[in-house]
Amino acid sequence: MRNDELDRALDEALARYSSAEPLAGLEQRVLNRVRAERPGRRIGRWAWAVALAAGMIATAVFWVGQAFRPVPQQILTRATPPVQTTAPPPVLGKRHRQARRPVPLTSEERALLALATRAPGQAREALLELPVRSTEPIRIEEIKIEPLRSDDAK
Amino acid sequence: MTREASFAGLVERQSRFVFRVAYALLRNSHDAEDAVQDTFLKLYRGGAWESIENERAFLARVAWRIAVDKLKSARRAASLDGEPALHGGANPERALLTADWNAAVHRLVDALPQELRQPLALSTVEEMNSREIAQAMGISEGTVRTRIMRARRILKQKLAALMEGRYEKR
Repeated sequence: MRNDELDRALDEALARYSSAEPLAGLEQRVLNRVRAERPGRRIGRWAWAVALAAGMIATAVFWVGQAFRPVPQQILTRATPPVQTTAPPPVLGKRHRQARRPVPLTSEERALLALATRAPGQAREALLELPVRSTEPIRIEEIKIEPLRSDDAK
Repeated sequence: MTREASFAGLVERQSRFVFRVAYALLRNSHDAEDAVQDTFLKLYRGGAWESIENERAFLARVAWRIAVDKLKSARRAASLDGEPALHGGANPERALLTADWNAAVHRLVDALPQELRQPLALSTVEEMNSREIAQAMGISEGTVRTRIMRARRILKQKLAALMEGRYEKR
């Protein structure tokens, strides 16, 4: 066989090398597969996973929040000072001691303290009368203030 | 035109071309169709198909890569099974003597080294020139031409030798 004949025969054989035809409906099968694996469907599957993960995180955050939640401060009611003077202070329970915290004195308490310092006798009497007086309406005696006298008025 | 319709148009236009590119390498219709589906699926997911300039070159490149990957995995599977990897790799000379000319040439092509077989196989796909083959394979156009020439020279030498032997036997 001559060289040019061999070339021609080789070309003919090679032309048939990839001349195979696909089965009918290739285009439709391709489109069907693309539709089947469309991103929307994948996102749908992902959405479930994300929702599940978000739920688990929310639950974990809730439980952690519960565990580390600060203890609510007890509202301390300002009790009337005990009347007894000789009896020892009552033994407070552990829980009560923990809740009691130093509270700054009010202006009335400070006035009472000043009175007890200046006139202890009067203060004691006032305290002893306190249960009786506490039920009575508060009476404020008239305060008499002498007018100021300047040196010029003399 | 919607995105879906545009993509369907692309599939209608090029699926047979993509099939031939894949078939040229895989030499099996079933595997080639799998490669076609994988090619378009990859294209659709990537979204790059909407802005490509040369459809054929782009598709040929994607299809060629997918086909090469399939070829490699098929070879690995075949080597694990202990079976020959290439469809026509077994004794092409005997095929030339016993079967028709085309089948014998195809078996000789299949038996070529991959670096020569792949550009030659792509050159047999309709209207694929050396430039498109170079783009698909990611090598230079000059390399494509050189490899195709070497492949053809080897084929002609083998065919000539076999033809001489055949005539001598007669």
